[in-house]
Amino acid sequence: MSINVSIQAQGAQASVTLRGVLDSMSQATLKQQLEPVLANAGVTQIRLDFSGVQSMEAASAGMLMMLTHTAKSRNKTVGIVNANPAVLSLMHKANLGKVIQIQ
Amino acid sequence: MASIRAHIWNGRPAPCEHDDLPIARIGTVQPHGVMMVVVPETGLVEHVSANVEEILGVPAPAVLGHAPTVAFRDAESLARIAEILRPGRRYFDNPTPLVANGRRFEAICHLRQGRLFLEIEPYVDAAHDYQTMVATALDAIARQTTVQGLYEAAARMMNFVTQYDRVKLYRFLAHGHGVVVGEFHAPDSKLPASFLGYHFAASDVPEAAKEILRTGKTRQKPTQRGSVPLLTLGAGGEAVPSGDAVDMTDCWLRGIHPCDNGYNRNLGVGSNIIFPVCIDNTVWGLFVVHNRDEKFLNYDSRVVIEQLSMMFASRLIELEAVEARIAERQRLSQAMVATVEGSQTMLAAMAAMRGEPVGSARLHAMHAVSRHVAALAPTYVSINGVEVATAGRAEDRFASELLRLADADGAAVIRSGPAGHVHLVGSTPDALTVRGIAAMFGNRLPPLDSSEWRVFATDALGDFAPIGPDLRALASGVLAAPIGSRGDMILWFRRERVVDATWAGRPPSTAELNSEMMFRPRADFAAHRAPLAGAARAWLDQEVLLAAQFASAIGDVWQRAQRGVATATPATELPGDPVVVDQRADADHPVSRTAGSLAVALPSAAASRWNSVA
Repeated sequence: MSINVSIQAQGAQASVTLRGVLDSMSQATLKQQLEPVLANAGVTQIRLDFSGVQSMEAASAGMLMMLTHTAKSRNKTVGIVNANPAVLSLMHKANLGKVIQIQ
Repeated sequence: MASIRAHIWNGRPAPCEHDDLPIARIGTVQPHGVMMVVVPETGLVEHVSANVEEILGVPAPAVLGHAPTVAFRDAESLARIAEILRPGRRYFDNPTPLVANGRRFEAICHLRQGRLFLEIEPYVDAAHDYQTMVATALDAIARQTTVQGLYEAAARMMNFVTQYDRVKLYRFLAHGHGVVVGEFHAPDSKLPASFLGYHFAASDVPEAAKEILRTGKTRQKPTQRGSVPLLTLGAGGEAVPSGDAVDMTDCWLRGIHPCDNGYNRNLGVGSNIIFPVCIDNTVWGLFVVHNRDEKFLNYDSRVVIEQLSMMFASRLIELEAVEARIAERQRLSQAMVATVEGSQTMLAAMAAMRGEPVGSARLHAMHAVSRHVAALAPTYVSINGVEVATAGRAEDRFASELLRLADADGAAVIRSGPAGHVHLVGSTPDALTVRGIAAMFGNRLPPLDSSEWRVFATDALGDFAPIGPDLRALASGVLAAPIGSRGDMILWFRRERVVDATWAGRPPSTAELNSEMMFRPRADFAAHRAPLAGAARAWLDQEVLLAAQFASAIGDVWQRAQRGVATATPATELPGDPVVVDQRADADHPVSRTAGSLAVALPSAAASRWNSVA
């Protein structure tokens, strides 16, 4: 698969580091990997570290919105950090900042 | 890293006279808003739309070469524009509320090619606030469990957000044509005509327009009142048309081609929005939203529909995978690879037990396994003319599973080497033709060994190679993946699908596509029946990926086997070098007839045969 996901949970925060390409083929992997985090009642903040994400497709932006929706329904917040300029540009174009906190 | 989509070469639209329309550099702006193009380094307006006086009360010559603030007096608006112009800004929290002459506006800003675009539109109220719209849409999309249910829910949500008369969800097919797969009508719709199930010709969406849609940009045309020119300063300091100087790809207010205006008028549409569903930089389809009367949407509503289309795309990928049973086929693929690997283990064990020369041992071992498994085994022999152990149902199951893996009508395994063979399963071209298709890689088709994914798929082989009707019928769809790097390959085939299509108006002929007629708005949308042919059912991205992974895994099995026997086997009998015992065509062979009769007894089992092409 074109995305690698590593998760570190510490207290209420889960830090999720992504490496690779977020596209139609990798979104299922990401969702699958995040399931335990979303199911963990002790986690209230999910921090997605995008420093290793080379590119992202529009459908993946949709997936992140739906992920945030699920997280919100489970009393969790989702934030994205360290996205590269190209990915950041796509996120802004998609107005992702209206749904997810982007730093 | 290339997306799997880069390996899918589907049927291309026929060339059309209007393909190269300079749509992005049209030089005009829609009349309901003002566009200013600013040089960020100076903060001065380089281009402005001719309607600036009508909307903001300041003539164009008074704006050009000045700061955008010249058109505003309200202190809060001036401060907000100053913030937009702050040097170094790359992103903008759209929209920015502004006031001019007591009237509310919203500015939408973006940067492109070193220029700052300010699009200033009159503010309009929405039926719902942003949070309500996005939460409702998210919930509706997330709850869907079928692709058709998703189509319907998305169309319904588009109506919820836009309150337009009619929403059509249009899916692109091979050759750029499309079909309406979902539709929703407002309860009080003034556009009651339904286009559900209707096909639209590829020429309805010029290639240049599709290029912009590919960027994900929504096209909003709230009014059919024509367009106004974009102006810049001439040599003498006067305002002159900007012509094609400005690339308006990302602009909401980009002008409308007269042909496009006419098309909508002829459809009885006064306002429309087109927003693409993009998956991996490919336009999967479009939501086309129509209103009989002029109707404006505020920025937040447009954001919601863009986000809705992204969520739709994401959910679509998931549900298509579910309906195509991709997870089940992944498990099947793993089991098949294990079976192939197991056959090699058996081969090695038998060779050791019998103390026979390796070639002979291979032959005996292969009698005990399915011929279809053998075709993919690291070492294999032709069994023509040789007694075969009864493999029965298990043998045919492997053949049908090979087809099920890619949901194909036929499959072929090409083994290279001095006595290369082609193993055919199901409905396929003959072995020689299969060889011919394989030889096109690196020539008419892309090379298979030059990128991350070693795979190729098309739904319209005829677009890339001169093939006759017989071959088109059997193998319009081709999915190919090399095994290892010595010329071995597995191919899957899908038959041409001929659809008895109902078109919204008669599709243009080739002559018409290359005539001036393409610059006149289409007026005929009446139902017209004509077959849609020349392409197979398209391969899903997941299927293409699965094929690549399967072939790669088989290649790994071969490599492992090669490492295992390299020391004990003569160089001429390394795995991958076929040992051909008998190269007679299978048509004369009783084993093949047995396989054929099994296929009759077991409907799901595919016929299989060996073919020698030596």
